[in-house]
Amino acid sequence: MIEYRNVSVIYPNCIQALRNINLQIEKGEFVFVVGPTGSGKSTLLRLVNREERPTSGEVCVAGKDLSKMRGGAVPRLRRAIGVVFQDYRLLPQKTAAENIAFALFVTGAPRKEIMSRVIESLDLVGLADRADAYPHELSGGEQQRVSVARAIINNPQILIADEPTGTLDPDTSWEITRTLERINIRGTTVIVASHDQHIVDRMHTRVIAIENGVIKRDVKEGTYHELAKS
Amino acid sequence: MSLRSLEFASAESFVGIKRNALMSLASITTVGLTLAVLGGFALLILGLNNTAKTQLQKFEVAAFVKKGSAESAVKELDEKIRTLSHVKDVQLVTADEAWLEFRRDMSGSIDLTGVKHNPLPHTFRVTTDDPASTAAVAAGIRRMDGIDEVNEASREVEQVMRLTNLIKLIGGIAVGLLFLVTAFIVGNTIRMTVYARRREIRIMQLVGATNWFIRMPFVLEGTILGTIGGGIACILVYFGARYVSQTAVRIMPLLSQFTSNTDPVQFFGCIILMGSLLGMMSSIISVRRFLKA
Repeated sequence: MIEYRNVSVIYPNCIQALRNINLQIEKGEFVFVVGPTGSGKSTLLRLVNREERPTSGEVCVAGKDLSKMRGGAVPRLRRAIGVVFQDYRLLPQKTAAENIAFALFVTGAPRKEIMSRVIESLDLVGLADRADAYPHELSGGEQQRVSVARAIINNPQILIADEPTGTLDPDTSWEITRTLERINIRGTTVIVASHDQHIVDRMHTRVIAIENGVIKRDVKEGTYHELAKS
Repeated sequence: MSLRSLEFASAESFVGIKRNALMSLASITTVGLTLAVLGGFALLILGLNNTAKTQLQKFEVAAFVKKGSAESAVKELDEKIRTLSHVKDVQLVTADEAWLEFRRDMSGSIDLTGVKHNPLPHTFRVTTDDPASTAAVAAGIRRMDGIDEVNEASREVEQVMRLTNLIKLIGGIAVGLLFLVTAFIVGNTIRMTVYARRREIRIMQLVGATNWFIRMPFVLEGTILGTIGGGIACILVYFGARYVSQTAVRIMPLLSQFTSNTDPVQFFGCIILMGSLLGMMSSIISVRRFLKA
């Protein structure tokens, strides 16, 4: 599904974010990318929807080499990839339902289809009763669920979440993570960057640990820190 | 471009205009003033061109036949003039016809009742196919026997042409500079809208909206501003030209001959179209850089 081949990213200010990354993520996987702030987690994620381009090496998504992709083809790629951010990125002057609908609207979906899919999507994240609330009327956890609903409205093959629970309390964080798990079960490949040890350990899925732009560890059923025995 | 994205674009662009009311007003004003100056110069140049063509080139060369020439000699001269190159048409105005015409033109201004004899000679009015060759044609006729005097309008034509060229140059430089200023101000207005909507743009990019979909509202906003500016320019030019021409004719009645002879619908249509294009191009340029995904 997603393949990194000898990927390095060097930012214009000469900071090397990633060094020679080789990584493969299969369809339907649930992957945590862990590591301290500035380790390169976000960069790794942003390569997937071509927000970032590798300085060298190649990133392939669904068999397509992104570095060879024309700029005009990027919108189509992004429609197949949902994104969730730590700061939700909702439009304050639009209601929850409108925020979600916006993602479909800009891709030119028919109005009738938008309506039914927005409801379906809100249902999936458990927010059907707050459809007409504005972001400032919602709690942090609710806002993040709206943003998850927006990310999956296009039925993406891949969902990337950059610190989705970074500002939420433990219970809400767990709820959001469970929501992501539900989406994963429906068949979407989910990649989550996180430094929430609690959640990573509790989920017990594949964990990729990054430090200083290098993969330190890649464990099938891993935990946040390396276990003493293994 | 689907109907829905157009609907989205137009709604968004009006919101943009309302949000930066002051900058929008500044854009409309500069577009209006720029195009008004352009329109004024264009009218002046068109007028000068038209005058040079219709008034001065009517009979570019007037050749007066020596008094008392025989009719056969006049006929011979006629044929000789026709053989010169660049001569388009030769028209003989006999002394009697010229006298009649002169008296008709002057009736009311000069009392000619006391003049018994016709003082005017036979005259050839010679038109050329090219204003630049007028001097050569005049020289050719001057060498012929039986010709008394040759008057040519070439010097006047030349002067008008030189004036026209000067005005074209000044107008071109002024309008060029104003275009740059206008493009800058319109572009900046659009950039402010873009800046106010950077979050929305970011989200649109991430959910896979095409660049054109994102750009459309801004381009439309610029086009609307430009078109309104063009309309204002039309109003300015219309009333300005009317005022100037009325004043000028009052001071110099001869100027009533001065007209640009243009179709107003076409002329004002052009100005409005230029406003739209100016607004559109400015916003395309200013949004382009921002949307490099």
